[in-house]
Amino acid sequence: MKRYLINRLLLIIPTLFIVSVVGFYLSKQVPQDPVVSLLTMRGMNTGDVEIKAEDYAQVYLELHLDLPNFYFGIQPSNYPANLNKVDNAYLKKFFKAGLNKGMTFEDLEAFSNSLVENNIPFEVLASSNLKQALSKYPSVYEDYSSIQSRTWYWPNAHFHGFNNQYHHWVTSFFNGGFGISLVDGKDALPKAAKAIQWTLAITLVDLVISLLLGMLIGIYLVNHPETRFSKFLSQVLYAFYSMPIFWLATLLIVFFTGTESGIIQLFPSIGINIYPGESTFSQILKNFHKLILPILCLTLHSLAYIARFMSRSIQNEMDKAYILTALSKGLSRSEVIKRHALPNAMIPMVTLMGAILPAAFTGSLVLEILFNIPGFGRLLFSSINLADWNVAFCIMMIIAFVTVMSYLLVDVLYGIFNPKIRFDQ
Amino acid sequence: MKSLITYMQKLGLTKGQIWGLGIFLFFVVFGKIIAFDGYLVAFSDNGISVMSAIEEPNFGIRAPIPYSANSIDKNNRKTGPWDKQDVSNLYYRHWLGTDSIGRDILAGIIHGSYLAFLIGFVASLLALMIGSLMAYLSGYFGNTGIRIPIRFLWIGVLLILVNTYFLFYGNVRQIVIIISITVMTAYFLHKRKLKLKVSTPTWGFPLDIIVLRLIEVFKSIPALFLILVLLPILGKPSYWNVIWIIALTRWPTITRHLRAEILNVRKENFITAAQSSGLSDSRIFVKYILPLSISPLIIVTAFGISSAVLLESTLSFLGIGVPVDVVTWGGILKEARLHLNAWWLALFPGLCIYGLIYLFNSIGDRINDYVLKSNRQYEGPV
Repeated sequence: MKRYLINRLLLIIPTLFIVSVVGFYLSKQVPQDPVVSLLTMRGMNTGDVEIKAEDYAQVYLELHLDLPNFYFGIQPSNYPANLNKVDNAYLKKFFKAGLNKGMTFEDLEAFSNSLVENNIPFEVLASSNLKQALSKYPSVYEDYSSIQSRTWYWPNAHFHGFNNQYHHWVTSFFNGGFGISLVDGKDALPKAAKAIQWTLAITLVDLVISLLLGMLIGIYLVNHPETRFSKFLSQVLYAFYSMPIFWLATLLIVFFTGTESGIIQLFPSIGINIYPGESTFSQILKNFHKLILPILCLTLHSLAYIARFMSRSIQNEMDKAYILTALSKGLSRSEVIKRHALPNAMIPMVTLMGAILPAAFTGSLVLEILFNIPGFGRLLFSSINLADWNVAFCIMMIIAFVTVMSYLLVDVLYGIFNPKIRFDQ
Repeated sequence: MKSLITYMQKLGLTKGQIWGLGIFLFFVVFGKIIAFDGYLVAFSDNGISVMSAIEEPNFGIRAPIPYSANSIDKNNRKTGPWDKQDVSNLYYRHWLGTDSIGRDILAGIIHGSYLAFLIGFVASLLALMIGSLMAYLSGYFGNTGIRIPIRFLWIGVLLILVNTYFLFYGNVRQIVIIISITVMTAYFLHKRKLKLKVSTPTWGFPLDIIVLRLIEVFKSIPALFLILVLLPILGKPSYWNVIWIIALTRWPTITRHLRAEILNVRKENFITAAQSSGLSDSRIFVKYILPLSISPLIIVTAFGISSAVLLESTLSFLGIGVPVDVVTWGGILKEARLHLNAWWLALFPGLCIYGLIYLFNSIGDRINDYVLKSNRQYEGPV
């Protein structure tokens, strides 16, 4: 058991490492420039004036963007060791395009130096037809058109050590930093922590209710297979199981929250009352009547899923030979289910639990947006829309960690519930 | 056509499911003709024109519903099905109401069925292609199926490194050259392996472990997050991006299910018998593994379509991915969020999404039951 656990824990490390590398790579690919967002947040970019190059360079250094991306890099030999040292956005883009075409970095650098000597602004490089734009400056035009390009270079490896952007990013997880939000300058982690409490309030209530009630309904359905009520119940469950959560929520909002076309006002109107200065937990308690509707939507869906899964997994056991033996011994059907079928039917239920928590997170995302709840999903959605990538990737890493841990938990529980599995093997 | 229906009945599909599928496909194929705001065929002095917007032809045939998905009726904005509508006669009535800028809901739903089909089917077929390839490779070969002689190991490592390098920094021609070199080398090594003695030390390529780790990585990044991040990276909103991304997030599920099925088949004695009688891997695959994995493939596809439709409608409900001018069911439903008093905006498009998801879920369940039952008959009474 111990060895299995250690093995399993060790296998988590490569997964989380790959997830973090993928996350970091994606965060480098997004089109927005974090420096510009931060300058906008600080009021240095008002829109009508160009950003000053000194301000840009200062924030560029502040965000550690001048460091190399990763521990090492294997690139064609025309690339410099660290392209990130170039702190001008136009110049960097121009260099990248040139290197991609097969020009050497030395030539490009010489060209950029001649631009500086002739007092030509780098904004020229942003124009779509570079040759035409440069033809206005005959002193540098020659320099540009004389740059040679080759089709192929040998690969070249650079080692950068620990002082790189990925390392800073990853170690900030352990320091609890996660960087700052580029929208309001607050730390990303406390923001996420505040949001996750709302999401947990919804998902935990949903999971507790739907697991307890779902299992009971599942057992009931197998216990009374032929009655009219249980047939009706299983049809209703199937209907809720296929129903998109957001549609169910929209219908409930339209018909039962007392707007103009509502039938009856059964639920309070959507939206959350914010009480400034109070902790998130007490805000959740005070707003709990407003959370009933989203919890109901989420619960109806997961309840149907769990009840169906439960009854199916008991039914699978009921078709086996040992149940026939137990029945022929003279035990009643409910007794057979309770004593014999249920313990075995719990094994697939355990595997379900691993998938259920991440699924509830995703399910609550749409509901949070729809009901204006300041939870995890809405924070993720709004931070991606506002290009606040520090917060977005902080949330991604938390969800990835929770998912991986829940898979681990399931594997361990699976071994405890299923005596056929031996951990030592 | 008839044999297809018979095959579907053989798989255990009910009449209602076949009818539902047929009606949906009918609207997908003929949707553009059923709802159209111009003349389908118009005879004017200049000659005959098809699907045109000629104002006053001599003679013309109009569509059953005189509105396209994007045609705007200025006089009827946000009118419900029962409300009094400002239309000249019953033919022009908006049977399912209009949205806030005066677009007909019924026409939107009919035109939206095409996109639901495109995204649901194409995305899940793409996911199926990626997912089943991974499943067949990892399920059949496992961790020991592909054995590389240790003295050739460095060639494999070198090839992997070179391939990765060129994928990032090479142009198309270089990538094609390097991949064909890789394939030829692999073929050569495979031929060479057959001549080796049994005692030659070999190393099993851990394909199964790699695929399982990959699935775990994909499963631990939330699908909606991946979509939200990848869409701005890919640039302008277009539904082909949405299709690719849905396929990318769907394949791990397919691989997991199929891999388990193939592992079951792989354990059967007749596979061992076929291997020991000297059949090649490709022959065993075509003769035994492929036919036995058809029904799990169909089941996985049916559930895959329903979840692709769900994902797409969630995305357009949130207003991401699909361009604004493309009318989708989720997009019409999004309007209901802004106009809570227009109940018809919430009810009808949602009903269509729900119907499609329900249809494919129930088809998947029916075939699943059928396969379970027939397996039990095959094993004989317990």
